[in-house]
Amino acid sequence: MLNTQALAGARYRESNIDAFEELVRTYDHKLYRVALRLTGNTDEAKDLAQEALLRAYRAFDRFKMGTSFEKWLFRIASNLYIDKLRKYGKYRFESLDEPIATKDGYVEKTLPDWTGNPEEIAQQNELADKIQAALQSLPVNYRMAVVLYDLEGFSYEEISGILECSIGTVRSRIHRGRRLLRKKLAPYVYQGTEVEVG
Amino acid sequence: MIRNMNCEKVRSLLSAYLDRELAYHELRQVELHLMDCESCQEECRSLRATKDLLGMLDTPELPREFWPELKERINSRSMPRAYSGLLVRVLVPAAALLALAILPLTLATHTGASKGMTQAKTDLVEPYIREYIISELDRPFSDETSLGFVATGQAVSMYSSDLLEFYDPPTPSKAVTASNRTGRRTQAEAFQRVMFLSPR
Repeated sequence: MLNTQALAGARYRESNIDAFEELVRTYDHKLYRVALRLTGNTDEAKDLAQEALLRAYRAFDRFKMGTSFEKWLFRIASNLYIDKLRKYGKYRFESLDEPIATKDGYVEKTLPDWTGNPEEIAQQNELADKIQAALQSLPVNYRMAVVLYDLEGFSYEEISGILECSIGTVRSRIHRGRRLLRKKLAPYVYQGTEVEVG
Repeated sequence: MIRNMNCEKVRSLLSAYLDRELAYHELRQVELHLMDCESCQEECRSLRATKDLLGMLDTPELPREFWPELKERINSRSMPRAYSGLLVRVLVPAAALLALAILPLTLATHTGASKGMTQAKTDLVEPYIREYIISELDRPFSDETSLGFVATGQAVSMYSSDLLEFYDPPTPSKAVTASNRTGRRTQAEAFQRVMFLSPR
């Protein structure tokens, strides 16, 4: 758990970057993952996560002690992302056939059950790319809600705090996001686990 | 009565149902409906399969250069600590005092060349800067130090040029004058607010 008192102290010390790093290490990986799923691009994801941490570092004197640092940090990141989209362009709606910008190193890691069979690897890489492209094609509010819930396991309540909207809105965004994903990924939907209802 | 919940309503709740985020009474209604409705069962299965599909994405590693680069970014922005300290502690307040000292002169003057110059500048530039500063002040993570510089630069260039330049003005209407005077006050308030916020 984050020691916010120590972080508050660190904020005002000279040469405090190492202390800051140590204290927010719990969240950096998660923040980067969310940024990657939102942007679909490793360079943009790194930039977004770094910028969010930089702002958190600089704005820490305005963090309310006793509230969730994680929620605060992800709120900074999501606001930053939305600002960036507003500033640099409209939401992108890419075709599923369009390639997305991923680096080779990144694609190689998209194999939950690696078997060594090149054909299967290629198929699974392709599927991961299709899923990421489908995520990219969602309206940004749906994408953020789905990523925060389905990929990072935040609760609806936490997401409502991060995205600064009601729980009902979170519920609706997740549901609409999934329905759009289902439509876009229709040929692959049952390649996941077959499940029983209830 | 419980079974009266229609398919459309049930389907709108299925994601929250899968996520165990329904209130108890909603949960009961959805469960009861699903027992008898095959098409909603299929809807539910396909949504869960979509959710499961997302689980096939990997969990990428944090790039090795992430923290070294971030530290560099932090350092590069706070590097001119001594320099910015000087600016923030000495030059900005000095400029602020200069601007605030000149401000009443321009506000009090209703005729003359310098007033016309100010109004011409105000009409063209001031509203944009003023709105920008005010809107930025309301943003939780705006950089007040930068805003301080912007406000100072704006005030100094506007009001000092008032004293230095000569300009034969078109006759301003009363309405414009009033609006500009209000604008100046707003800017002065925004400016003071920027200056009193703790700079980093």
